[in-house]
Amino acid sequence: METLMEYLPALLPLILIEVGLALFALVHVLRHPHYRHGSKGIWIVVVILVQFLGPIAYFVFGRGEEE
Amino acid sequence: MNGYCAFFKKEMMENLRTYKFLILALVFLALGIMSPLSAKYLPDLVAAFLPEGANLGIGEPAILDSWAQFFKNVPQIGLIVLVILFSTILSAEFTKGTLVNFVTKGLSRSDVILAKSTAALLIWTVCYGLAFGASLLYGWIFWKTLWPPRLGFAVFLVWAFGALLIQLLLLGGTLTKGSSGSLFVAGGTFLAMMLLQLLPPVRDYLPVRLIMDNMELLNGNLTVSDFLPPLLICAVLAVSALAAAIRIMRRKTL
Amino acid sequence: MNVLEISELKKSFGGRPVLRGLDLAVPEHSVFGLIGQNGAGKTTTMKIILGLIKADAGNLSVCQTPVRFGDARTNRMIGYLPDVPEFYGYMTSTEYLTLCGKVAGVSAKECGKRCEELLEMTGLSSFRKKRIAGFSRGMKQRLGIAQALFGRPRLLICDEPTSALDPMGRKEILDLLSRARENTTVIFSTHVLADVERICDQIAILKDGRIALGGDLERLREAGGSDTLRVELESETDARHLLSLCQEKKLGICALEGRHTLTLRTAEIRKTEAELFTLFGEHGLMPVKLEREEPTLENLFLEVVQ
Repeated sequence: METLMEYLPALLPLILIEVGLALFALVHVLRHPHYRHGSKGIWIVVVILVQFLGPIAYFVFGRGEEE
Repeated sequence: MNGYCAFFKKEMMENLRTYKFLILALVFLALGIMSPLSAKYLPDLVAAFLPEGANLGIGEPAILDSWAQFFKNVPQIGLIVLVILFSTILSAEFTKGTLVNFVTKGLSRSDVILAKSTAALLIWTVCYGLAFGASLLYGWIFWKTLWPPRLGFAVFLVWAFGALLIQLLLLGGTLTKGSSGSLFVAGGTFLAMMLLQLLPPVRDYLPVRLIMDNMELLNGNLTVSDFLPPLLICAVLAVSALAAAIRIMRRKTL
Repeated sequence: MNVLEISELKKSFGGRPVLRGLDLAVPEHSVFGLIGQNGAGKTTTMKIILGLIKADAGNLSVCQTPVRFGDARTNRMIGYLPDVPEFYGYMTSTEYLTLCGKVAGVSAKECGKRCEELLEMTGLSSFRKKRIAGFSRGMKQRLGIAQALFGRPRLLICDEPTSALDPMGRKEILDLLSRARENTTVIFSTHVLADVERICDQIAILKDGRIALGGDLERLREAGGSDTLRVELESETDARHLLSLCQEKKLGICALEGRHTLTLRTAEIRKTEAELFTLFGEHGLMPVKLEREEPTLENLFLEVVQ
């Protein structure tokens, strides 16, 4: 636990980017219910559970036409 | 010139509004942070999981370990994400037919290619710059060293290779309607170079060295002049790929 | 003056000829309907005019300037609306039209003014801040017309502009096209004859890669000539009486149409009409209505295509 607290300040930006990307993708998945590949359920799981690559995969392969 | 400027702005707007720019920037920023972090903490982490007293011979991490991570992560992850994100740079226009309205208004086809090339280069430069900046900052915080010798040139080499990949994506994009051409040409060239570099006499001239031997340069095993031949070939390849893309684009049925 | 002149245009795809010597002339300020079945070569012809496809042989000129493949010079005089216009969904209609203007080399000040005019004309001004991705098909088609008219073209080419629309959208597009005639010449392709009858004054019927019939719509109708008379009488008895008289006198092919009306098809329409009047007098039959039936575009089309 002690070591974790020691590392935290350095790790924080990385964690922020990861969480930010996941949240951003999650909001997009929920608000745009049309996908090029896959379905809502799949993308929610992928975006939350797969770090970095999940949100990227969603924006490259899953995101459909706007609105 | 009008057409080029207008289309360049359109490209930037597209990359911003479809979040490509944002994603790429975040990925590269993460890579830039991750490299010094893993160099600094990986030995501690490994030690924590190993039985007491075991010694792997890992020395105290130094700033060059951080850059070793950087020159491993950026090409391995960063360039792949770059290629995938820009693989639709032309196919998105061809499959939907969105260029027809502009070409029939007198937009020259070479302006389309040039605008796309510059916009992608600008985005690549900014994103790569973010990774570099983050790595630089963390390196300074952890080791109080900002700039190991020859760092600038080593970093520039990777940029040049990324620039070549973008031109190859454009050339491949003009060959097919879908994104397969882009992926095939960029990926194929990369694979061909990876195979060719197994032959020692050819290896010295291959642009793929620009992303493979960066640490040798930082270590001092190689000098700047060793990289001039592959750098020159990289530039020639990039310019010819762009010129070929323009030529093919001019004759393409939209 | 002719805005567009095409002669002996030929094009084949992979050995299969699509156009086999097409000749066409489109006079200024007309609405020109290019009619043909699917696959007759309408889209190919249009794409060649726009320099998007290379022709195998033939001459074509727009406003006396020859068209060359891959050369954008004549395109400055042409506005083009593809059958399903595709836009950048992430842009608003104003942004899209501004991009069109800049590409066409219009100054920034003029560009803004023209955008407003066109959005107003196409009824899109209340959606100027909405992204195109959220537009309906009809709205996209109207935006398509706006972008095509941006550079004040001498010639507006529309590829099946109404085929994907509902009746409401169709009416809006046809109204827009006939209003556009004041400033430009409109060519549009279609297989919907009702649309042609509504707004065209010139037509060409495309068949097997050639123009099978073309020219002024009114004159074609006249030349197509009337061969049918329609007589409406006061009662069913009168109608049946006249029918038997006509059959007796062999006045062409007659038939009852409804209860009070009789149709007569004949080769010599004036002579038959004269004989009919004699019959009216002799037998005390008083027609409520006597008319020559105008040949419909549909009849002309079917005659040519079959």
